[in-house]
Amino acid sequence: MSETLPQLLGESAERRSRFIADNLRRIFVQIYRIVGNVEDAQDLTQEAFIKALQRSEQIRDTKKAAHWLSRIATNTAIDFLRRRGRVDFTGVDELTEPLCAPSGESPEQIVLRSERREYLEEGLAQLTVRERTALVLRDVEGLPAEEVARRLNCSKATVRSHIANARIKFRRYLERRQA
Amino acid sequence: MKHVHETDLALYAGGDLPLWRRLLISLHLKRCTDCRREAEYFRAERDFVTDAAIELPRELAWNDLAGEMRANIQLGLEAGECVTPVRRPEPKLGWRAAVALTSATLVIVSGWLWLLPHPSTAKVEGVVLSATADGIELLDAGNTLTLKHTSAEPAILSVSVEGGMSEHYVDDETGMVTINNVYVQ
Repeated sequence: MSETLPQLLGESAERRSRFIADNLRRIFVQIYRIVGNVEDAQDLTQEAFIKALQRSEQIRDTKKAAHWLSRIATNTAIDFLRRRGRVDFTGVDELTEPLCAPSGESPEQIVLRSERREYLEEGLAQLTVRERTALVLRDVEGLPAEEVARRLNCSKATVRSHIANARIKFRRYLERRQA
Repeated sequence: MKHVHETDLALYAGGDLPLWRRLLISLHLKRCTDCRREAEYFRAERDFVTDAAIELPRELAWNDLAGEMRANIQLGLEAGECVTPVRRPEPKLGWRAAVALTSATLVIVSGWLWLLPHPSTAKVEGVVLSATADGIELLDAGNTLTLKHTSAEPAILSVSVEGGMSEHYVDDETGMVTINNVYVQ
């Protein structure tokens, strides 16, 4: 055996840290888009990572691990919404620290980004939990309808119906905003 | 001209319709400006959601939040390791080991049975002397001769390696010690 136990433990800790760093933002945003508030998204992101890392042998293949983590994150968020039975869209305003804009962004771009973010959050708030989850998984995560159906535990036809309703409702909202 | 239903256009924009319906709608869109505009609108909306959804929430101090989450994840993992019972690997018995163990068990059991004392089934041949409650009994080819003693008290018997048997007892009537010696030849 060429590696000692401390070496192996060190590598494992390093791999774990890298795995968290590579996926934290993506998973947080994914969960946030489903549950709709920062505090719950934070708790659920932590829960998803802990669940995933407790089976650390699964994180050897980075690409598969990212997909697997994404699945755990979705299931954790959906389970949470099922348990709670409702969605709370408050919480974001409680965090008052200003967002640091990426360097090189003009004031116009910052305003535009802020506006887009607002449109998205308010638009998603118009949807039911299932419509929003289906839309996020399909249009943001890019999952095929079959996979979305599996995650939501419903038929593919139901998923299509949720996605169509979500896009139509979102469109109505954008039209109202522009009017 | 009959227009495409809004639901179908919403699904068409995301490529969520079966092939044949997608083809039918594509043909229709080539001829219908209104439906084409609607489809474009849905497509733009979908692109908007896809792009905007990766943005972090408004007024969120991401670096602070990320640091807090990393620390909490680490803490959660360490707490989990503390409460998880240590799993010892269960010894696996391969088929070779199982065969060897069974064979060894069979050998041991067979040896033990072999060494157990068996009741003698051999036929006794020749003259046999035996002590009974009445006295000394001599058996020879199915015939029995018993040398009885007359004492109420138990007699003292002794056997010699030459094949003889001796009996001592006190005669109840005379009070004399009587000794009977029987030899087999």
